[in-house]
Amino acid sequence: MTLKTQLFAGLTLLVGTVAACSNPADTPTEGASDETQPVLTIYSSRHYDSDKELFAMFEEEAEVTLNVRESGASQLLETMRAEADQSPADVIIAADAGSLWRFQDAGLTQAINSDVLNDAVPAVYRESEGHWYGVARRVRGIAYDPDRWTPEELARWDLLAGEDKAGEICVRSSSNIYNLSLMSEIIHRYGSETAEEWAGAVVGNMARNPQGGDTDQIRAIAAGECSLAIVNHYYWIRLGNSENEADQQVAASTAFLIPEFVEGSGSHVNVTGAAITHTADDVDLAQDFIAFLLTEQGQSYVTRDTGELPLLDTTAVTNGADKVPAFTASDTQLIVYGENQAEAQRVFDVAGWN
Amino acid sequence: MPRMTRPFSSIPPLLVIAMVGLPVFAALFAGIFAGDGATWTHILENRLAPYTATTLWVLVLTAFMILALAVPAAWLISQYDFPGRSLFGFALILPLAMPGYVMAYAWADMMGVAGPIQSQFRDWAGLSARDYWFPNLFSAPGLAFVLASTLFPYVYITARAAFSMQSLATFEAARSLGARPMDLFWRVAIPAATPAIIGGLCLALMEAAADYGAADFLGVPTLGVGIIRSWTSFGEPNTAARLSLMLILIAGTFLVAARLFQGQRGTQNTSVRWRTPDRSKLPVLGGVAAAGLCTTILLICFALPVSRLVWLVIEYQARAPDIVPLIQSSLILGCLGASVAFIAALVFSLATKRGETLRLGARLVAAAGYAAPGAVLGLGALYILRETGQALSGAVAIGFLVWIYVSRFTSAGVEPIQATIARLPKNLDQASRSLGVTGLNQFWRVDLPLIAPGAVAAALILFVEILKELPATLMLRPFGWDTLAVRAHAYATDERLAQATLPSLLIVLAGLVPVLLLSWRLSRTERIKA
Amino acid sequence: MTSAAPLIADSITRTFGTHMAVDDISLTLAPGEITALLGASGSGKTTLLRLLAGMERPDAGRVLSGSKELSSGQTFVPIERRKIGLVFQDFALFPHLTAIENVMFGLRDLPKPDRVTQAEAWIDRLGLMARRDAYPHQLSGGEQQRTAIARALAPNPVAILLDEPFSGLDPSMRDQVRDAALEAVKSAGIPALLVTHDANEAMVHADRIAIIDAGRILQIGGPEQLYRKPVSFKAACALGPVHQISRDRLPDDWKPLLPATAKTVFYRPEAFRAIEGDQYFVSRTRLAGPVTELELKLDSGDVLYSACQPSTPKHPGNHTGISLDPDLVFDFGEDET
Repeated sequence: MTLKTQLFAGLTLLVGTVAACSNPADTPTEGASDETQPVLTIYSSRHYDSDKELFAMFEEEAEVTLNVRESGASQLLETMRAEADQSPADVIIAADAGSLWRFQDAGLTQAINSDVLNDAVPAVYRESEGHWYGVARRVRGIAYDPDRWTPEELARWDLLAGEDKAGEICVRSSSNIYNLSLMSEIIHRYGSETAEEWAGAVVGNMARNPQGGDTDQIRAIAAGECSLAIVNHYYWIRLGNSENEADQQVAASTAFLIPEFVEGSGSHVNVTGAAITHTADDVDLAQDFIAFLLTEQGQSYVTRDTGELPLLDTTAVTNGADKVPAFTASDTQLIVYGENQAEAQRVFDVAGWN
Repeated sequence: MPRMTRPFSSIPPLLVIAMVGLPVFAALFAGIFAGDGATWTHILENRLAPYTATTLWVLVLTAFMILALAVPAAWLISQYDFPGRSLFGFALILPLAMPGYVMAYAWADMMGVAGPIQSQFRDWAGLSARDYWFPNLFSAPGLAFVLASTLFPYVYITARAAFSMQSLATFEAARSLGARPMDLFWRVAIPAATPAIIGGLCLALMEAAADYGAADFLGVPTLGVGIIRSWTSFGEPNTAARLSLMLILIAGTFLVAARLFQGQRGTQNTSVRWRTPDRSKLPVLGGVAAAGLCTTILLICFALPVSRLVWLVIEYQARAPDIVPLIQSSLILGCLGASVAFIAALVFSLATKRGETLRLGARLVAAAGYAAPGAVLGLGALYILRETGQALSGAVAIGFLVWIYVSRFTSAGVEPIQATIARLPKNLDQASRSLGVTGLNQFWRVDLPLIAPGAVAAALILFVEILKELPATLMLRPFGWDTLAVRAHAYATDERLAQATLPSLLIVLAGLVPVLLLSWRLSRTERIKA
Repeated sequence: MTSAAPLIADSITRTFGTHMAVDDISLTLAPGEITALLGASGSGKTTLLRLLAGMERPDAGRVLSGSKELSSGQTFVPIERRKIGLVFQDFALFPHLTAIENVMFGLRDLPKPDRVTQAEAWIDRLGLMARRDAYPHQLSGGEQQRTAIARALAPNPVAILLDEPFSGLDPSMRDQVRDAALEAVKSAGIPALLVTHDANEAMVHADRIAIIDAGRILQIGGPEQLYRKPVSFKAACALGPVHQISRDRLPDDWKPLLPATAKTVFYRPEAFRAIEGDQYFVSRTRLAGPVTELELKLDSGDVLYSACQPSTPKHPGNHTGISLDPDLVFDFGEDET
């Protein structure tokens, strides 16, 4: 009896499964393609609810169906490689110039010569041949305890290597793409050897082993474990926007600045960007989509949840991003972030920056 | 062990071995023959030793913590009566529903320098964060703690079963030879249950070795982290695959070491008829202590982190739009993956009696899949996909995803089934055949009912594991098939922990149903036997 | 060697629910003697063993080793401090230990070399030297049982209790194992209790036999005494076949020879031994081990059972004479069925 019951339970599980799976087409899907509409497939490394709304708006406006695969940039890249000519991907969205360069380097993107896009995106924020275009900006800067430091003491990245910063720095681990891109630009400017020295000195100044995300570093400042942290601007912005009182206090008790490399060099700026794949069926439609991201409406959605800065100067900065101090972008080609990325990780590894 | 080989020729098991092994070997093959890049040289020179040392250190710590959490609790539950015993017996399996990365989020939030515990402490003591020492979760011991608290049920389940299978006569013989209760535990129960405990521990440690989510979040540079890092930072997936060979070697070493350790020792009771010991009632103080121990374990490994997640959901009023499709995909993929993996595990378990070589080979292949990080298996799938010239969408994607689930988790299903087979009387097979029941008929009427307890446990464990699976699902799911784990990960990687909590909690909830079923079944088996 | 004191059960009682498993039993196990506790399953013999061993507490009564109280209303020495050796029907060897390690298990107080020496002595004594490093599942049933006995005796216990130790063994090897094993038990010079349901085993190997039924001891004594002088029908049945016949139906010339006066008399088949002669008609024969049981048809029409040596075979249809051994005819003073 008991064995029978147990067996029955097991079989029910099996049968139920088969029944449940017999019709996968009915299952949750925004992507069930409608035969009458053209389909645009997007491979995105972003995961934001506002993106979903944005995509829905484009679907309605352009009367297309969007298929979206969200995953890590590296995984998307390998997927496209595996799919080769069969890849359904038309547009790639990736949250770092380094990642975009990877796709380009692997021959998965195509050069676009679009006046609309070229006009909209300043030259520093796009790939020179049109392989990819920035759609939002992000800056890596320093959150700090204003009672402890003056902005002058943190105005340049090399100042973090100074002895006065000993035991004061919080930062996340080196494999994070934001740190890699920053290091890539440092290597580009000063060479690996100097970069290694700098990284070694910063490691020596760390208040604790690299851990957690950027937000955790800012919280650690408020908690007093360290007095400055290398973070992207929007994590600081988001804390200020939080409905949680403790988070607001964290933001209120810290300040944020954007250092330069040397005085007047401009600052380390990165982009979230879009590219059109080499397998894109309808290049015009794909261009329309990217152009849509660069409309005012598109820009506001792209930056709404993320706290990124819009690419278009004309777009109103919302959601507290206006608290980010003014900065000038450095003239380093963004493509450098990708080219130097592996070397950057090597430098971090050698410097002992976990 | 009965020779349960009748319904199978050796072809199905070989097919299953091929199915389970192919993604791992595709990845390893690409990794090994890709040629040495600059990255590999760098990793070999600078990182391989630290990665490996960190991984081993974490595994050693995890092993000790798992044993400390699981074995005393299993002993108390199986041997003694104390207040709340049946409830604890039930509840101690619950942490299985908790993905490691969710446990890491929850504890990191609680224990962090800005978390509630330390903040309160600073307010109360008037100290600054630099003035005192506090256990750091973002460390190898911290990672081991997180992994152990989600994985200890594996050992708890096997140890408890082993303890309750022990012969009363063996205990009485030991006592008549002067063994006190503590001696019974250390000199009789533990050694006799050791093979079962080692089996569970192997499973748990392989899973711990393959972890990426928790280690990455806590910033502990294990091999799992190094593998993903050499893919994402260095852009060399082949190096990642090659590095994962190290993990597979470690797992293989576990298995072989476990076998050697066991040697020729008997695992089965020699008793013809055995009675399981009646549980003795603990005195009041002992009962309170036992209940206290179980409560502490439950609080640490389940109640506290879950409460913290609930608290965060409420505090931040976290909303997760479109949560229903996520639940649907999670459940469907879980069922589908679990069914196929279950059948694979069944074929493995029943047919691998064909010979010691095939048996060990099958186990090593399954272990390789289990120890490889999901991302590496996903990579293997992509290499295979490349050969087929297909796009990763629709049925192809589901097919590959389910394949990877099977490759990754079959090992977890084989263990409980084989444990059941090992306990069956030797001559049932002959008895059945003497009554003219053979072949498939015998499989349905004799073999399957006999292994049903283990089989149900296997099916449930597979379902829960697949529900929690992240990296392969993230890589291979078709359009529109986001799961709860995928969504939780998406929020968490973007440091929106509050929003990540709701899907995380739902994973735990969805996992609770099968875990409760499993728990109910285990208690039942124990009652029937007593 | 340990000081050899008797192991004593003094009016002990144990009930499970409403069932009296052991009902006011007193029993003294003398040192150097094997006492067999003989009874059917459910008679309470295993419970009595468990009470002596300290696996159960008596509801009333005492268990003593010499003058030392082991169980009583006030004291209860737990099993692990009684130093009573136990041997189980199912061997109960530790599966994770080799034969020698099993024997060494109880020798914790000695230094390691002494432990090995002492364990080896026992292993050797029971003829297991060649198997000393084998694990239990690699041993035959007889080897397992001898290991179990060596294990129980090695720590020099004050008594040894054997719970149906040979019933799990193959009959062909049983005698051989039993002889060696019980020889070792006996030479230990301590009280030994052999729980069994095999009357033959009890009679051959025990110095004394206690017959237990429904939680009570029916009779205690030497094998000969119990076989020849049972106090009740039940006690008689426990040791071998007993038949009954109405006194009136016996041939008249036997009646004066019988010790009994009751209406129904009980007898063992050997009471009527076949001899030369042809007064009685043999209706059936049955080979029963060393003797052949004959079914005789009496003139009164009743059936009488008798015994004959296989050396003088009888067959159905033959006639035979009978000599009467009145010692094996019992009168229990009442009619029983």
